[in-house]
Amino acid sequence: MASFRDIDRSKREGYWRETSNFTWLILVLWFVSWVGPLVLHRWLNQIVIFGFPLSFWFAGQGSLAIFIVLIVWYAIKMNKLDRKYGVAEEV
Amino acid sequence: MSWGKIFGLYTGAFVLFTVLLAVLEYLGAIPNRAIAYTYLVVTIGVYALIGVLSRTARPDQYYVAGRGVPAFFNGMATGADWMSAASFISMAGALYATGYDGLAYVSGWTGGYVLLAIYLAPYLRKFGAYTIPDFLALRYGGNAARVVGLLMAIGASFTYLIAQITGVGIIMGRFLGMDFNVGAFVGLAGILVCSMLGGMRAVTWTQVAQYIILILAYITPVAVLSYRHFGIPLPEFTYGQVLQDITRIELQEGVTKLWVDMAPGGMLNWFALCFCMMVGTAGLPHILMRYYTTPSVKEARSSVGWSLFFIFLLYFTAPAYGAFARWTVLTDLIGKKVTELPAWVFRWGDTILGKETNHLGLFDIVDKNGDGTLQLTDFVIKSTDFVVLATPEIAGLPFVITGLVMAGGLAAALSTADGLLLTISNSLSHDLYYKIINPSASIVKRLTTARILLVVAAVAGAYVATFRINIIVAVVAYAFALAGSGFFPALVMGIFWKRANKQGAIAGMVAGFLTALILIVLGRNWNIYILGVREIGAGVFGVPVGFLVIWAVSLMYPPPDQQTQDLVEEVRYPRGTTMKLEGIE
Repeated sequence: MASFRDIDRSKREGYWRETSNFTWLILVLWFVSWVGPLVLHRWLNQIVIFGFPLSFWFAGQGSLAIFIVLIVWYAIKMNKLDRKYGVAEEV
Repeated sequence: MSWGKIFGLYTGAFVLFTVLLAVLEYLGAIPNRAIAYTYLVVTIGVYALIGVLSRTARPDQYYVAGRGVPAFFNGMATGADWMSAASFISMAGALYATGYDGLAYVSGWTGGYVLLAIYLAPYLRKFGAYTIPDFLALRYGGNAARVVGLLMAIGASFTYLIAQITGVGIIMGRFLGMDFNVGAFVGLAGILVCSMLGGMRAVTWTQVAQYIILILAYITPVAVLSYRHFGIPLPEFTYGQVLQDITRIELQEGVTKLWVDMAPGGMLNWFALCFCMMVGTAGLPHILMRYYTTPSVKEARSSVGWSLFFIFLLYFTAPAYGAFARWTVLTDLIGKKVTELPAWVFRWGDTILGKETNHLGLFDIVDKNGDGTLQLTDFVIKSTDFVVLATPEIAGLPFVITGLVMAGGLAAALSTADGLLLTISNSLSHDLYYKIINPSASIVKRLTTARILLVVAAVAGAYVATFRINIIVAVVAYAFALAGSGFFPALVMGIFWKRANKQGAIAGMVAGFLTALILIVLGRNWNIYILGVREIGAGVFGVPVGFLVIWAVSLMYPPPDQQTQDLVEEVRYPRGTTMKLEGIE
């Protein structure tokens, strides 16, 4: 049975360090993307674009779009990291 | 033929079928009720056909669809699994009533997928278990963690299931005039034909078929409304104008809390509710289970993206739905003479100016001050569900589209019920029967047990639903707080912290769950709140408690053995074998 011990130790450590850092980054962006418009609600709702008060728009639509972008970015970046450190699945 | 082609043809055939019914309706060849029944029979027939074609006798097919569901289709199936009767029928109405405050659900029910993507889905896929209690047992050394997980998974899923069956009964009543109990058992049959023979494999492909119907049904009426007013059938982008109009009219009418603004001092509760829905999303077993079914870790990652994309299509439209409905009521109803009421009012209203027309329980129209003109308070809402139900007629669409909305609502309720039912029966048959009671059971015996338990759980769910216990609908909202507080910390710590051990995990699951439960009971019964956070957002306390207890208690006991620590390390790297589970795959 294949085991993680077959992978070089330094590669494993490098992979996990980059993965952890990137995971934290996505978490912070995720948090800001919905808490930001909420906390700044009074101020952002004064700004109206195409009829949409901005805080309302973020809570109903904008943050949702950011969530998708974050997940897609995560998937792409992690696939790259897999290859960079030689831990991608053999297909 | 590829899956893409099959479902492309299916979508085309369904659209054609709707057009055909529309032509028949136009020619006056088919009464309304017959249209509704045709939709009911045809859609449930299709689901049943998929269920029968996907029958299987192999455990890996039955439990995890052979781990062969491509990311795109798993995304669609997750979308249908996720969006329940509440999302489809009730959310736009809730937004109609609450405006900005209701958007906590829209952000909350989508943002959880980010947590799922970065903390759980790829790692659970690499781990390769069959159920969530399975993961807990393997990671936290034994059946104690399995049993705690089992109880929480069944508790959350069963209340949720009852709410879906209730949803089916209500939909059947409103569109077909069917008795609630009959409707609930028709729904039950609809669920069983999909799941019993083919387990996860059948449920997956049925959910894909159900997703296509529910999204077409959701978007069509409001797209037509947008086209009619702005010449563009994209309500998601045109409703800015509508928002401006709503604000203008509200200011004229002297409304103090504008629809586009938050209730004063509502920020903390908005945060708590949204947070709770997000973490709950990432902690509900019937959603987590879906990421066991993809062929690889890579596909699991992109599948979360597809899931959110397909869910996004509905939630991104929901605020527009609520806004258009509010606008219609403010402009078409308010200020009108009582002699000039639009036709949809008579179709969906209960008592119109003292005259009983229906018993749907949606709204009444009165003329309180007797001036012959409608004021905002003359429109008495009993259930904001009227928003989704009446919009096709508000948009001036033929009854066929109302039938389509019924089919969409049914698809939403049935698909979620399927996923829940499978979670319950798989936990019972795999975790309780096979792993604890009879580990030497043969494959045939295990699958037979799984199917029997599936029927038992479904009948029990439908039976409890017929009591119409009001508290159950409220309990569903609490399922997010409970599942999030109970599961999420133990799952995340299990993957990301090698040092987390059995004692810590069990204590943390129990503590998180109980914290949320106690706050819910205190808030619901005695209005006792911490920092003013209402009970529905109890997870905002339960989740941190769960994490802290796992951390503290784990440190009080020795670290897990080397084998478990190796397991945690192995899960980090996509390369290498999936953990095989005692030769069942």
